[in-house]
Order: sequence, then C-alpha cells, then structure tokens
Amino acid sequence: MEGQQKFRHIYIEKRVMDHPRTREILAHFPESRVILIDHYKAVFNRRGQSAALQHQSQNLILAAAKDTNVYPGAPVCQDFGNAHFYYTSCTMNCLYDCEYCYLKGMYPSGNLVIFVELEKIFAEVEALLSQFPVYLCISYDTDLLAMEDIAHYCTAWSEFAAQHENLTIEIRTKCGRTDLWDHLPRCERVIFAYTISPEPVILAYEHGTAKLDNRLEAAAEGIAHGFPVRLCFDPMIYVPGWEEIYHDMLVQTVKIVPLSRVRDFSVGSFRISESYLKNLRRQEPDSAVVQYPFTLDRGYYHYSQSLTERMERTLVEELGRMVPEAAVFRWEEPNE
Amino acid sequence: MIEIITALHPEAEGVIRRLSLKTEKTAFPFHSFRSEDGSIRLTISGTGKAVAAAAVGCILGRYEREELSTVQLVNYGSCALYQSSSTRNESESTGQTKNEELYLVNKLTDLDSGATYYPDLLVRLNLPEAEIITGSRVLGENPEKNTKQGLDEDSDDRRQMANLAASDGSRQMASLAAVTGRQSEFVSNREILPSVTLYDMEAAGIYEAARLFLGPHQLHFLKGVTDQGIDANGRIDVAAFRDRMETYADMALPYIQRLADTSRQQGRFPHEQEAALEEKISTALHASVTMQLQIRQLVRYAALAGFDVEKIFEQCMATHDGSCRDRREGKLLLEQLRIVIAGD
Ligand code: SF4
Repeated sequence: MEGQQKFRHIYIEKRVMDHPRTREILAHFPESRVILIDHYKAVFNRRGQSAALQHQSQNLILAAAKDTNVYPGAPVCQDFGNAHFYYTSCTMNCLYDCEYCYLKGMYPSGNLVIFVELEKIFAEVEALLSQFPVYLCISYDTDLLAMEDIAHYCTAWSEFAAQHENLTIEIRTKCGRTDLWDHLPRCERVIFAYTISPEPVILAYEHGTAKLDNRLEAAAEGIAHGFPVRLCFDPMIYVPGWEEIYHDMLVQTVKIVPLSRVRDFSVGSFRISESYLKNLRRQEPDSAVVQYPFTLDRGYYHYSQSLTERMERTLVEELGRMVPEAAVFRWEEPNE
Repeated sequence: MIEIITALHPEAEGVIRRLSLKTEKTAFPFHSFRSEDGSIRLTISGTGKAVAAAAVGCILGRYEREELSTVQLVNYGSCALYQSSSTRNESESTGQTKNEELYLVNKLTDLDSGATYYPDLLVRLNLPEAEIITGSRVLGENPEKNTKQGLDEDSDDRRQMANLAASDGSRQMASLAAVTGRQSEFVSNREILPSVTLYDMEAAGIYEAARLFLGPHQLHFLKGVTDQGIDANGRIDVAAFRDRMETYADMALPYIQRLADTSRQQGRFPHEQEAALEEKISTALHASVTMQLQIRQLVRYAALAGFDVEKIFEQCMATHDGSCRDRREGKLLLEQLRIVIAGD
C-alpha cells in the first residue's frame, strides 16, 4: 500500500527496551509508534505475511541477540579463497528492496530487525578467532552501510576488526554515500564490497539502491581514502541485450574507478536455492527477474549452463582486458 | 472483497446505512448484509471471542484458497478505554478526548491466554492507534476510574490494581495491569507517542481464527470507545451508544473505502490471457504435467519481459510444418521456445 515515513512502527523486545543502542536508534525516529513485544518472532514470524507489501511501509524491530548469530558461509556465496568463511546476521532484512533479493524467499517478513546486543555477537566471533583466522561477511542479509546513520554497525565492526588481527571482514553494499569515508575507522582487513550492476538493472530491479554512478563514485572515494574496496559483478542479471548493457557498465566503471587500485573483483550470475525461489516467486509474482525460467540443479536454480558460461566469461574476459593484473574470483559450483 | 465483522447490530447500523448494505440470506447462523455489487459484506457475530471466531470460520471458509488473497477483513465495533499513558510532552491540543475516538488497533492481547497478535498497518489514514486487550467478561470494577480519567500514574495504578486483586480477588484487573504495565512505563519515561489501551470481547478471537486464512496485512481492527453508552453492569444505553457509533461510522468509512479500492484492484485477474495461451501451447505440444509447468513459467516470464509469446510460438511451430505430432516432438518445440524466450 503506501510508503511514506520510514518505520511508522518500531517493535521493541521488552528485554532490550533500555539497551543504550535501542535508545540511540529510537532517537532517530521520534514520530514512530513504539510497540513493546516479548520476542521479535511474534512479529517477524507471523504466518502469511507479504514481504513485498511490507517493504512499501517497512517497520523496524529491535531485538536481543539470538543464541547463535555467526554461521558458516552458504555454498552459493563466494568465499574468496578463505578457509574459514562465516557470515553473521546482526540485522535481518534490508532498507533496499531488490526484486531478486533472496531475503524475500528466506525470511517470512519484510520488516527490518536489528539485534542491538552487538557485543554478544563480537564474543561469538572471538570464540572462533581463538581457534582459527576468520573471514566474516557482516552485510549479507542486509546492507549495513545503508543503515550506518541508524545503527553505526560498520563503525563498530571496523573498530572490532582493528583489535583482532586474524579477522577479515567484508561489508557488502549497494550504497552510494561518499561522506561516510570521513567518519569510518580505516582498517586494512575491512573490505567494502560494492555490488556493481548496470543502470537498467538498477532501475528495473534494485529499488531504493544507489545509481550506478553513485556506487562507482562511492567506491572510488573509498579507494582515495585508503579503504580496501572490492567490486562485485555479482549477481549478474539476465536481461535481453545483456551483452551491451554489461559492456556499458564496465566502460562506466573504468571511467570512474581506478581499477588497478581495486583489491579484487568477483563475478557470478544470479543463483538461488530451490526453496527460496519458490517463496520469492510467491512474493514477487509480477517480477520478470524472479519469474525467469531458471534451470534447477542439485537444489539450486540458476541460468542454464550455457547462458551462465557466456555471461560470466564475457564479463571476466572484458575485465581482464581492462585490468590484466586483476584478481578476479568467479563463483564455482561447489563439488558434491 | 471486504468482510466486516461487528458484534452487535447497533454497532453496525451506521456502516450498514452508509454503505447501503442489504440483508443477505445465508445458511449460517449469523445475520449478514451485503453491498449491491457484492464487494462488501458485514456480518453480525454476537458478543464474545468464541462466537466471533465461529463467524470468522463461516465467512472465510466460503472462499477458495486463491480468492483469499483478495479478502480484507475488518473488525469494526465498540470497546472500552482501559488506559491511556501520556508522554512527558504530550499536549492534548486536539480537543478530542481519548474516549471519543475511533482507533486503529496495532496490537491485540488475549487476556485469557496471554497471546499477542500484531496486524500489519499498511493503510495510512491518520486514525489514532491503540492496543486492545480482549477478555471474556465485561470490563468491570470501577469504570469511572478505568475510562474517563485515564491511568496516567501507571505505577500507582498498578499498585492499586494489585491491591484490588488482593482485596476482592479481581483476577481480571490484575491480569490487565500486568499486560499493560510495562508499555505504559516505557511510554511515560520517554518522549515518544502516547499509548492507549482498549478493552473488548472479540478482537483477539477474530484475529486468532482469521490468521488461519489470511495474512496480517489483511486484518484490520477499527474500535470506537463507547464508555458513555455502557453502564457498570454492561447494560447499554442504546440512544447514547447509537449516537457515538454514528460518529464512528463516518470515521471508519474512508478506511473501508480505501480497502475496497485496493481489494478491487487485486481482484482483477490479469493472467487470464496467459492461462489461455498456456493451454493452447500445452495442447499443441501434447504436454505432460512437467511440460505444462515449464510452459506456465515460460509464458509468465515472457509476459512480464514483454515478449509476444504467441508470435514466437507460431514461428517455432512454422519450423515444424505448423504441427506437432506427439510429445517427443513437443519437447523439442518447447526447448526451441525456451531458447528464444530465455535468451539461451
Ligand atoms: S541490497 Fe542486497 S540485501 Fe538489500 S535488498 Fe538488495 S539484494 Fe537484498
């Protein structure tokens, strides 16, 4: 239905109603109506929710940390060659609304959850770090950079990483803000990974995200400020005329970002687990990107082998011509 | 389709008249009224959670599964104002007191089970919001205290409630205080919007039954405070009650109209053409069930991506002399169609 003011309702678990982070977040939304709840699941896990409708009028849930908050990386995710690859969900769902986002297939709700007890998640990561070095993605089930003004989690994680030498963090984003570089603590092990999509794909499917030029400018600015920046051409989305559209995107990328100073690149076409796509299709019945006739293979839907190969190879080769020394990670299907 | 449930006829009269609803004959033991175009129905459930839930079962059980996505269910009716908490900065500048309001309910608590429910509030029409507690008995004890004054001093109130519980065994009031205590403490200590708590005898029962059929974005609770119309023994002063409900009918109407508009848009079936095309292709290709599913997905995608599937199909058929002899040939044609549409 209608979308106006952000977070018209904020649901707060009673046990964190006096948490300093709860107060800090609430201060941003004086017009929001606060509803106390016993557990975030009472709102988040209701049956029959329409994540697509909720995204048009998204609400916020502030909750205590779960018992477990750090998980081994999923097979569909790029691990960039790291042996101990984990991800954490310190928030669930996203301010942005990409039509193809697997979160709509994974979560029963489109509302945003912030787990305010970040320190408990830090403790969990420290327990892993006592055993081995960890590569941790903290912005998989959300876009943390887009929420930096609300929760300051990128700052908190960057400070945490700076104190733990065997921790490397990836912050995935489609945010186009350039002002944050002046405030974020710099740590060489905190990688800002920009998802780069062609402008027509952004306009059609990545609602609310930054335009291509803005993302590229933000990435370039990050590099200029000395932050490690990764460019992810992942997920590549099939659209008729993709060859030209993706070529134009690369040309634009070269114009704005000093590619030789990009830490690394990743390339991968859209893929999603069988059960998530089933839910996602129910949530987005009128989205071409979601209703595409994918191929099902060992529990995952993706473009056909030949289309996947053509799309990814074309991009990798063109990128290779532009930056011969580039470290390009291409997503490989895991062996059984 | 809009389904309105109201406990008593005097609560519904204003809405029935304004929407020109006519009596409808059904096999169910509930009076119901329907608009001429059949898009709005109002059902009188009777008082209490159990009958309200039974009415929901009757109303929603009539729909096919796919039709349910177009249904919006509204519980419209009267309630008591149990408590209102003020923030430190709250200014009562509207001139409207809290017991003369129609509220949109954002949280429901079943007093008996303690279960809580949260409807999604996706329609924005500037109605004030409130929580509601649903109990099995008429809100008793001291209605003057509960309603007119409001319970601004929450901690005092809770003490008083505890005393009440101890002195006269009023478990109902003690449970109510327990349910509302923390919210009002939270609100009164912060500069956030005030909270209002209402009391009724149906809402949570309706939610509990309806959630088996509908999602939280399809459930709406519009509750008008009618403390002036009900005496301490639960008897209704019909004239005062009707008066108030007339005003609330005016307030509720824009909300119901908005829902009706949204529901009408959802009610259109834009995929009829796709279904016909799917059938045509399936028949022509002697499709198995698996092939039919593939054809459905292909047709769906093609329609969304702006392809003229019919034309592409005919071109594919033309390469096979315009006919397809059996399923084996049908599979080849389907693959040909898929390659063109999916860009393979
Ligand atoms: S930015 Fe990422 S997490 Fe957010 S909606 Fe888009 S795909 Fe999902």
